[in-house]
Amino acid sequence: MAMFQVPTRPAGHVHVEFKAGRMDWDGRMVTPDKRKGKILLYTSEEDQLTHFQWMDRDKNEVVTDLIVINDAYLERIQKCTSGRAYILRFTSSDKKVFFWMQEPSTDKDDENIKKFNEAVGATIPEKPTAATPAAAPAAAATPAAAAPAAATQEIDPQLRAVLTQFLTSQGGAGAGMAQRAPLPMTTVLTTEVLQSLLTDEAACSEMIGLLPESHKNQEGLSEVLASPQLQQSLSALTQAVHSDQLPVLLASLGLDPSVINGASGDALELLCRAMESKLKE
Amino acid sequence: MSDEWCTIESDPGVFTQLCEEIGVKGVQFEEIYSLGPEAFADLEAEKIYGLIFLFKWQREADPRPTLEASELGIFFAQQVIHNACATQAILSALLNAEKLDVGPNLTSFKEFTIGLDPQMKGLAIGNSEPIRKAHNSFRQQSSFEIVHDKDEKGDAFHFVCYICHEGKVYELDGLKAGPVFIADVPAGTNWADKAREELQRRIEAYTQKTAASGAEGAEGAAELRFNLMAIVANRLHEAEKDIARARFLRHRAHISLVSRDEEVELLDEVDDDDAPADIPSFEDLLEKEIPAIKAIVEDCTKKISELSPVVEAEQKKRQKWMKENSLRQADLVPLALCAMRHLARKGQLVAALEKGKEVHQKRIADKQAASA
Repeated sequence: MAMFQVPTRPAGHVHVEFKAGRMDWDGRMVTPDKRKGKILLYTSEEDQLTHFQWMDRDKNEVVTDLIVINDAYLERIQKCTSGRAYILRFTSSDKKVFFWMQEPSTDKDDENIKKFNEAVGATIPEKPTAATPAAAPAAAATPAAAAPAAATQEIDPQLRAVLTQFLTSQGGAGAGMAQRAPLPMTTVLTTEVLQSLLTDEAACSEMIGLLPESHKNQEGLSEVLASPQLQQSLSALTQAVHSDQLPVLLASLGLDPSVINGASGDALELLCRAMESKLKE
Repeated sequence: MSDEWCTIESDPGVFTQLCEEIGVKGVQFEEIYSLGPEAFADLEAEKIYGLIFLFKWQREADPRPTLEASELGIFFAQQVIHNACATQAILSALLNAEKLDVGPNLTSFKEFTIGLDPQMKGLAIGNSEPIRKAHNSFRQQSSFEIVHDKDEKGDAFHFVCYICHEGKVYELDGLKAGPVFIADVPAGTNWADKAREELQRRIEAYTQKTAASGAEGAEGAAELRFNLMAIVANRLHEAEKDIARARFLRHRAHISLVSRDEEVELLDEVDDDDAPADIPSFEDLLEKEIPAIKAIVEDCTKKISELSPVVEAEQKKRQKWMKENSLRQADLVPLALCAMRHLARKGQLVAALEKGKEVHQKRIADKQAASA
C-alpha cells in the first residue's frame, strides 16, 4: 500500500519532539493508552501553521493533529506521582489532552516541556495554589500506595496498564472495572424509564414547565423525553456527576453533599440512592 | 469565553439556520445519501451552490498541487479556529457562489477580506462577530461546565467544500494552502457529478486504507463515517416565487380573456401592480389566440397545484428543523433532574439504577469477551 504511505516526517520546521503516550480521560479517571507514541510540534511548510501532533510510533501514523496558535501549553500533573503525566491545556478553551512520557530517561522531561511551551508561546495562566516547582524529578516521588511487590516501586505506566487490565479481566466485572467505566446516566434514565413518567400528572406539569416554548405540551414532552438532544444532556450530566462537581449538584438538589465523604462506589449510584431516600413518599 | 467556538452538529437544519442567522436567506441544505449517478438527479446544477463533505480526518500524503486562490478569483480561507471547520466550509461555498445574495454581513465580510491572504482570511472569520455569534448560537446551554472530551477519543472530523467556479470544480480545504483543481465541467452536464466522482474515489481510497490497516477490521468499517450535504437554493422561496408568478400570469390571462368577452370564473385575486417584470405582458397576451390563452391559464393552474404540496412539505420540514434546533439550544439538564426527582418520589429511581447497572455490567463483560 505504498500509495498511502504516511510520511515519517512532515515538511516544515520541527520545534520539539519526544516520545510520549496518550492517556484517555473518561470524565473521572485517566488511563494510559498502551500505544507507543510521540509528540511533535512543528510549523508546517505547507500551511505555515503550528501543528501539535501525536503519532503512533508503531503504525507510524498521526493520530491527533491540532493547530495551535499561541494557545496551548503542557503542564505536569503534580498529583500523579506514579508516572510522568502531562496535560495539554488550551488558553482558548477547556480542551484537555493527557499524555505520559515514554522517553527512557527523565533527564530531558523538563527541557522538552520548556522547549514546547516556549515554541508555542502561550501565556500560561498562573496556578492559584502554587505547588512545588515542577523541577522535582518523577523518580523521586515514590508511589504513596506501593504495590505489594518491592520491585514495582517505580512501575512503568505501560506495564501498570497491562496489569490493571489483566487483573480486572481475571476478577470479572468487579469493582475495579466499575470504577474505570462510570455508569452512564443514559443507561439508567432510558427513554422507557423517562416515558413512564408521562402518566404521572404532577411530574408532567412540572416537566412541561421546563421545556422550551416549541415543546410546551404533553406531546412535546413525550417527544423531548425520547430525543437525542436529551440523551446528549444526560451524557453531559454523566460527566458532571462523575466529576468534582458532584457536591455542587447534590447541593443544588437540596441533598447533603457530605454523603460523598468516605463513600465509595459509583457516583451516579450515590446520587440516585441519596435522592430516593430523601424524596420517596 | 467569547472568542471560543463551540462544536456544532452536522445537520441540514442546523446549517440552514446558521446561514439564515448570518443573513443568507436564499439557501438550504439537503443531505445526499447516495453517491450513485442519480445522486443529484433532482437538483438543478445552477441551484447547487456548493457541496459540504464531512469525513474523519486522517493525515495522508496528498500529492495534489494547490493553486493560488487570488489568481483564480476564488475566496479561500485557511482554517485557524478550532471547531470552526463546518462554518468555514459553508462560508467558502457561499462566498464563491455566483448569483447568490449572501446578505449584508457576508457581503461586507467579503469586501473587507478581499486583499487578505488565506491565513488572514481565516483569522478574519474568527474575528467576525456576526459569524461567530451565529455559529455559537448552537451551543447547548448547560447548567454545568462540562469538559468536552467527546471528540477527544482521537477522532477529528473535518469539513471541506466543493464548488464550481468558471466551469471548473475545485475542492476548498481550510487545512491546505489553496484550492485544489478537481475537474473541468463538460458543457451541459451537472458540475456536482464531477465532485461526486471525486468523492467516490476518495471514499474508496479511504476504505482500502482502513481495510489495509487491518486489525480492527469490523470496528474500522463501522467508523467509516461520511456525510455529504448540498447547499441549494431555498426550495420554499423558490416554490413560493414560482406560485406567485403563475398566479400573476393566470390573472393577466383571465383579464385578457374577459376583454375579449370570454366567460371566465375568477378564483384568485392578485394585484397586478406587484407582478414580476419577466412574465408576459397584457400586450404579449393580446397577440395570442383565445385557445392559446386558455392553455396558459390551464398551465398556470396545474403549476400552482403541483407546487402547493412542495410548499407544504418545505414548511413542515422547516417547522421540524426549528423545533429540533430549539431543543439543541435548550438546557435540558433541569428537565433531566426534574425527571429524576419524580422517579425518586415514586420510588422508581433506585429500581432504574439497578436495572441500568445490570445492563452496564453486561456491556462491559461483552466488551471484554470480545477483546479477549
